[in-house]
Amino acid sequence: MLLPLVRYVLQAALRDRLVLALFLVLAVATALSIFFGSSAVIEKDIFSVVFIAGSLRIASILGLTLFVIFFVRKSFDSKDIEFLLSRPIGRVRFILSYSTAFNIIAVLLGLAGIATIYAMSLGLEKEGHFIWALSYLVECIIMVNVAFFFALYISSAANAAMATAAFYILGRMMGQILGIIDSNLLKTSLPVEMAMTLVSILVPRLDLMAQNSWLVYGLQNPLSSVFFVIAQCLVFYFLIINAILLDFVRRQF
Amino acid sequence: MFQNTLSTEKKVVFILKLALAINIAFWLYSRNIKSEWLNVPPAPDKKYAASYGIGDGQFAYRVIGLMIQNFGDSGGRATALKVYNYNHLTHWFYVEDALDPVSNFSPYLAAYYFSALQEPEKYRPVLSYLRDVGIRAEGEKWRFLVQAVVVARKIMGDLDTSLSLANELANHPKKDIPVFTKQMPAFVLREKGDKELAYTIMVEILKSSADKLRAEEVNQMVYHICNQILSEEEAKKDPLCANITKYK
Repeated sequence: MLLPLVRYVLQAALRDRLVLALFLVLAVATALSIFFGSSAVIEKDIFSVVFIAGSLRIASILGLTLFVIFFVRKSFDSKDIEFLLSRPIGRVRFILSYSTAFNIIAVLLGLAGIATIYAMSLGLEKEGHFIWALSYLVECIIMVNVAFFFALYISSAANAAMATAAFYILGRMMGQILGIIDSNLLKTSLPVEMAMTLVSILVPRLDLMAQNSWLVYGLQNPLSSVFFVIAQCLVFYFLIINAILLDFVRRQF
Repeated sequence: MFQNTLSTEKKVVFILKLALAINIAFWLYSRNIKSEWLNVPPAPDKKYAASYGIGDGQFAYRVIGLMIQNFGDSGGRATALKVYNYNHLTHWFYVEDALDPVSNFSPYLAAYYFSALQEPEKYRPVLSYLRDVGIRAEGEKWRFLVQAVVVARKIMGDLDTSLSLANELANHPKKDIPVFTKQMPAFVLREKGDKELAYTIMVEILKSSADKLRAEEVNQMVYHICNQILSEEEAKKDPLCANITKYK
């Protein structure tokens, strides 16, 4: 990992006004959530918190992944990557530096969202808030690396963005999909069932991360949830970073 | 060359003005059109309901909850409750219950909002939902069973169903619920005045549980007493309604 390269990506995020844009999204999502939450006849504060958390989760993932994809594709188009690789930087160190920078951006911007949720949910479940925050950061880290992977593999930024969005939705819906398979409702569609089971091996269980019910009711078994969140982060990060490396090391410039 | 550019610019400006005029004309036609509401749609299976929140059950619960609250009353439209398909509505309540059995939002809507319909018989499917929620020992769910008894007795005029629900209330598994719940079967059997019964129950709930309820729920209950149960003259005399501007 090279610190100057990490700094270079972080400066690019600042230059692209990603931080400003995401803060604006944060403000708009919070305002809209309070507005919609206030229209509920009772439990207005809970509605607002759940809406903020739910919308923020989607908005921040969208913002972060789009930044990663367009930054990487722009770096290819402007020959920045070829220039950087002409310097004495190994490909592995290059990928690890970029990934670290994206992770730092994901954590920093994730913390802003967490602070907003914390401020809005004073009086609600605190232990659940901590685990929600931890898993939200892990989700951001996973998704920026997934976006990095698709941005390297797919030469069109639009296609990479769609692939990342599809991956995210699949990850969020994986619990439902596995539930359908387990309920034996697909008796006549065995190939589909098998295909989805195979896909589920490669897609992280994002439906088990940052669950909004934790903010409202807390958790029954917080330790096992922390273990799951950290294990999911490590296992999937290890897989995705190696997939990225495999493509990048083989690539002909 | 310059004149040619100027001529093109004039054409573009003219076409833009034309497009704007067409847009205004279309707006004059479309501004009063309201989207058609096709009544309460069938509810999804409980297993897949979390899809409404992209896999997040609590988010789905709140999104669906707000959707149920605003069924038929969005886009500048107001729909009478008697028009609603209460069978579908009840299925939605059960879906909500599967997503979050702890929250009081959906039972509250079912008990206090959707019970104010002009054709009380349509409310019958909701009674079974209120019964299923109200019989639970957790939290203050018993008050939804109380409301089911009141609706069956006061609004639907179905003494048999009311008595059956009142008996379940009297044998409620939660131990520390107010004494009046034990007296409910007697209330129903004696067939005292509807207002008196409803008023007693609501005031008793306020007396016994106001400190356990959320402030807005207490306000809603006082509002319900002063506007739904009491007549205007009775409300003016009742000290409970003294803080409501209308009766000051």
